[in-house]
Amino acid sequence: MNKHDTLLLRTEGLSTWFPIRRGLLRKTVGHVRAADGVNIKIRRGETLALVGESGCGKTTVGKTILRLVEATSGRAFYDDVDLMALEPGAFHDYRRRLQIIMQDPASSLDPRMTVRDSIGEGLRAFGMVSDDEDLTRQVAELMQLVSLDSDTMHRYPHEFSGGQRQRICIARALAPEPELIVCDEAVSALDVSIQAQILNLLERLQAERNLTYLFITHDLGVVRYFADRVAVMYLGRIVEDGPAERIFSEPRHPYTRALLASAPSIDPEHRGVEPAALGDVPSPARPPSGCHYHPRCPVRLGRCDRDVPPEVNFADGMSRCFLSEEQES
Amino acid sequence: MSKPLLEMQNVSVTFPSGAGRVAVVDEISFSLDEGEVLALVGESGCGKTMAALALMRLIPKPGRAEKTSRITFDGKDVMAASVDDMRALRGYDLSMIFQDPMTCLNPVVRVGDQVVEAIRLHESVSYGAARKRTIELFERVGIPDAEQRFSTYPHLLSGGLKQRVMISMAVATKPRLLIADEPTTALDVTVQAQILELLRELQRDLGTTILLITHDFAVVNELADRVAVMYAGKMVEKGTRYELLKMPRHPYTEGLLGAIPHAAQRGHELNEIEGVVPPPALWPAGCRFTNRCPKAFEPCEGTLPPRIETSGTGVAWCHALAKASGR
Repeated sequence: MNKHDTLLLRTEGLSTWFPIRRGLLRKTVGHVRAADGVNIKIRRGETLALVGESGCGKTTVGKTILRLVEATSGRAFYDDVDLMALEPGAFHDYRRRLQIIMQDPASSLDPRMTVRDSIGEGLRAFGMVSDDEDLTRQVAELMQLVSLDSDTMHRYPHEFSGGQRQRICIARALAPEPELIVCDEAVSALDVSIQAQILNLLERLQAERNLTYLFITHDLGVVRYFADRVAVMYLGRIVEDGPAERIFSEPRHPYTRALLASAPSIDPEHRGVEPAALGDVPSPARPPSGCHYHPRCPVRLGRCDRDVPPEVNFADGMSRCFLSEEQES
Repeated sequence: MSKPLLEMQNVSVTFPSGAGRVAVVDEISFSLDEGEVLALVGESGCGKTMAALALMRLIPKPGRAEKTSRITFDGKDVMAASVDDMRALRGYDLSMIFQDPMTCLNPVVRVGDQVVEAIRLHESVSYGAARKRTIELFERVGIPDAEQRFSTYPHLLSGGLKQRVMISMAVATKPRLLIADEPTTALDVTVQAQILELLRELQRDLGTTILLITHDFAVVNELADRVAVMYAGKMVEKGTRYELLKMPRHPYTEGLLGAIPHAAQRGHELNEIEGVVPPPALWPAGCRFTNRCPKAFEPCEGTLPPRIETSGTGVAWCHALAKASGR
């Protein structure tokens, strides 16, 4: 038994489609299948990295789980309760238990609210404070937790640097004592030296508070350093998942392989990345038929443009590829 | 040895602030030989883009390059060049690729015509000949269906294709020096790998000299021959790609490389550089890195750090290194 043995979140065929509207009457002419039958599992206390390139739907999955956008179909079990089926009132407590940290701390903080009000908003909303004095005390504690000077709680977001603002967002997310935090590109907008500070902070908080992270990112260096398990997404579908170590050492899906081969290294003895995927990521509004990856795939088979590959399960993860099917049998 | 293609000597760029002008680029020097790739590296606000804009004479007002700056390109004094001379140079011998291809392409002009315009601005060739050359260029940079793509508008192209159009425009006149300012930062990693390979090929085939501006040491490793690291407007260390990535000597370079998450660091805490870059008006009089440096001692704050030769090819500006080497 290890520390990550209880399942906290499990999605089943989670799909979020956005309508494409055209013309004067805004008739729906099609759908962008931003998330299309997504199955992910997160165990308590672990970090699952959801990886993919822009437009693959990774942010949509995060927002759908938090019900910031409504799912089209599918279920998301959190502690065996289907979040997608809950009435708004019943979902209220899960709003507390699931929090999010976004990419751009500048636009996710209200410029007209002081830091104290921003961090304290959740505490108030969930009735976790007795009076004003208690609020000040709790906000001060949260600010110290993320290494911010609590004397600055009456200032406004613009008076802080990018890294400090991200700390404010983290303190705000921690305030209602959540269990799972969706980190949506939480360190992508930061300079390397600041990014390291925030990653160390997230790591420390996870150990201290037994937090579970759904870490959404495109940065493979961060994933390799930070994640326990990885799910790779391409145009709305999960194409591979598994323990981080196995994904990096033995990727199964051709897209995962391309992604890893494309990432340049800082080791001066390893130079010259080989582009392993052909062309660009297609538009999610018009995904290719069959396996979405087939037009870019260097090892595609004849059937790949017709049939959708099934999820092939191995002892150490899943791969959604006809070639994996052959490996398995 | 022949003269370098580009020499930047004591280049300073200043902007007005409450108390006089503040130098956001402060007396930096570097040079580039023909056919070489130099990477100018640093975090946001370190002045790397401003240094390149000084060379292009495109510093946004009210900023300006100080008169004491010496910029020599191909034997020509860039600081003294007339507006017309600069116009003839820019986009011909000196080209630039920007980070965001969307904002650099005209949204209402067909992409092919934008490249034709760049060619015909500098060379007296017919539209037909320029069009033919553009289609060849599009094929060269890996744009599929080049003939059809000639007549599309920028918004119909993906990010990677737009960057390819930008690159074909920048190399259309076979420039002597190509400035690539974060050329792959806005791109996805599988597309970045393709663009990096394209830049490497162009550099090899055309012998183009490249000034690469980036914050990403992995991109530096892919393209550069030599590296110059900037911090808060100052040059802190220079060296070959290998020595700088393998054995960084300046505490800032060392700290920055240690802060990059990768496999080897799994389970270890990442190296943090304490604090943040102060705003330009509050930069220390001595070494700018003083208040964040783990090796800072008495002289660092007040006096400018000395130039230390760290190897035959490397230099760093640091008091701690001077002390360690017994000077």
